[in-house]
Amino acid sequence: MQKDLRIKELEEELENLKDQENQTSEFRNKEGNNINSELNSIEFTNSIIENIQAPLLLLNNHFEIIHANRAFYKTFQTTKEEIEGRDIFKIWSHEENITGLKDKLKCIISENLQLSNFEINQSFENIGEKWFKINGSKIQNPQKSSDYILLTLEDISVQKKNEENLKSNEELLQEMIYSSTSLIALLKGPEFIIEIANDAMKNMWGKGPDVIGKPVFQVVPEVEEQGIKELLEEVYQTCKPYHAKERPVYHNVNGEIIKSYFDFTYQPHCNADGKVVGVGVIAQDVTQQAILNERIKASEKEFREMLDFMPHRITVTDKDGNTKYCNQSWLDYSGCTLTEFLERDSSEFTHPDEREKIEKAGEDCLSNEEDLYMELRIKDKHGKYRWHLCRGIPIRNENNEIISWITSSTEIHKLKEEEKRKEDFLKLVSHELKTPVTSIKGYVQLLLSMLHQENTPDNSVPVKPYLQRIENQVERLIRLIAEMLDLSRIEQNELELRKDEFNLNKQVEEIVEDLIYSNKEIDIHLQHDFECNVKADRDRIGQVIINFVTNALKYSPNSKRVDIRIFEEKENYVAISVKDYGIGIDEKEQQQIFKRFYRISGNKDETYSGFGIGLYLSNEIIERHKGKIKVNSEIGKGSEFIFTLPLNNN
Amino acid sequence: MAKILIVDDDQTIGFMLRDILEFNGHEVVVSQEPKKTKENIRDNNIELVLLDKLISGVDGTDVCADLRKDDEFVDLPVIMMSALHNVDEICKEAGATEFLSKPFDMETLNSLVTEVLKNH
Repeated sequence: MQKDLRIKELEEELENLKDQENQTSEFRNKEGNNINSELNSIEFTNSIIENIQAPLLLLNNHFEIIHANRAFYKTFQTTKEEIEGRDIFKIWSHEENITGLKDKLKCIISENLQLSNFEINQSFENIGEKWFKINGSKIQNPQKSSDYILLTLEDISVQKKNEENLKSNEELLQEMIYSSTSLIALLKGPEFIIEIANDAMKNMWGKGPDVIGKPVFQVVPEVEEQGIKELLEEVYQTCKPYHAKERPVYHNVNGEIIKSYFDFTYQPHCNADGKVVGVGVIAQDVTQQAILNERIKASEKEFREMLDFMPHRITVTDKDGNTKYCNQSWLDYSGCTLTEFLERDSSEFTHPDEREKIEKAGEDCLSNEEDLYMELRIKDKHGKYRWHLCRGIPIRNENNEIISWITSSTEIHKLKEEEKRKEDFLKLVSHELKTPVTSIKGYVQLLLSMLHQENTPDNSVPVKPYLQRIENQVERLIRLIAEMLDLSRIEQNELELRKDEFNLNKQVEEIVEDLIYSNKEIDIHLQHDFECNVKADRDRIGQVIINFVTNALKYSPNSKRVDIRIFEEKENYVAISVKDYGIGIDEKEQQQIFKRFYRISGNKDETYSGFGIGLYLSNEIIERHKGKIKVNSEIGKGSEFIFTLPLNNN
Repeated sequence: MAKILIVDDDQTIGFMLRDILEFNGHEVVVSQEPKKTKENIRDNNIELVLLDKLISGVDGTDVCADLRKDDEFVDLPVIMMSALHNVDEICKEAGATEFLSKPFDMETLNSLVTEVLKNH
């Protein structure tokens, strides 16, 4: 009942207001103002109020709602019946005072103060929590003593929400920047004044919070001369970002210069007009990584150099056999450039006879999981094949799949040649030892057989000449064995020389006499162009001369003539030459004959019997006397072997 | 008894073989020159050749193969000899009737000569 009375009272008041308005219009018309009467009508005023998009409220001095416009009802999802005549605070909240609004409204009434941009945040019955901005002012009723308050409300909930989001984003960003381990700074203006520098950046500089507001090159003057200033200026001027990777920078930390490495970006910072106003710096200290990378590079270089230094030939191929790497030794041997080598098929370097063997060995290696290990011939830059010992191992990944192969080839050509020569030498030793043994055995058995025959008179058995022959063959065996021992002494470096002074001409004469005595058929021409004494091992020099003459006869199947000449060589040397008219030696073989076990080949191997060590021994003997040994020869015409001895040899 | 030619560059072996074969009643010619083999066979009506494999300047297998190319000597018994190991097959391939390994027993030589002569 009381409520109805109150509404009635309010209706009366509103009617009064309208009357007042009408009276004012009439008064203005009476005054003769040219204002359209329609404009002054109360309906028109109401229409304006109703059409204003912002919610409007008219309160009396008891804060009871006298009138609300359509926008208000819509915004608050309420009706005239629900609110008109009711206390605004009772409608909005059960609390008496909404964040001081009541006090503000009281001030409007009592002190005629304007309420401007007062913000409230309230949970409303029908529309939930909202933010409103309220403006208000007092409207005086001249007819009545009571005053009214006109409030305009603006829903600023969305704006508030956005502001909150923005604020929280900004806080997050700040936190991110300041807690980041990346070094972050913002340098403003052409002086590069530090506006922002996070803790990581300040720690790296070794500075405190007082760096803010100072030019960066005042804070870290040592970097100015390291090209950093130019980089910043370029970014500032061109508005193009700059990125650096593992750039070394020297910093002065407490007076000590420390080298660090950074990945960094200089990002131009522009204002709303697109003009550069600063440079953002984001850097990452990658010193540890860079040092590690440098170590890896240095280590790789060291390994590469080591591989290039090795005489072994190393390759790395992929699982299909395509070469990915080879060392310098391979390039030197093959005469290829690296590109050429990598492009060529590795089978091009192997001997055609062995390609099948290699393929099989590769397959065996895969099935048995054993390393590849084989002797192969590999082509050099001159197209010649040389023996190599090759080893290959597959490199497997964690799934045990082969990803590449490493092969190492060691040249063993000389060893192989030596091995072959040794085999040949053994065959030869066996042959040469068996030859005198054959004669000895034959004569011993013949003598025994003759002596056992009953009807043979003892005096008719030729015991003496047969024993002589046996003795000669035994001597021959002893000589062969002595040669072998000499060879072994040379190998052990134990060949001793007993130097005495003797007449060389006389010694040669004696040797020639002995040779003729044992072989009447030989035709030796001896010529003394120079006479001298030498200080040398007489027996060893004799051995050399006998070897020369024996060779001369051995390699002259159709001639028994041998010319021996003693003459003076320049620079105080005496020379002895032994010349034959035999088969001769071609130029290539002339370089080989003084090597161990080398024998001149005829049409087939092993055509000539005799130890291959004679010339080797002679060469050793003469070299140890500081003399020289050489040969002049022509195929089909014969050979001339010469040795020299120094005349003042002490 | 037969006429036998010995071709060996080692004079002592030549003489030893001659002495043994003559002791057994053969007639023997010794030569150190393999290139004169055919000439020696013809001149001396040789019935058997004892040929060394390793002779200065010449390989005995070439001499043997050369004899076999000649119709006149295609069936002539040739015993090749050597102190080298594992060459008997090479000598037989070259046309040798038999191979004798050095050093040998006198008895082996005698029985081999008798057998070869009997078969030809």
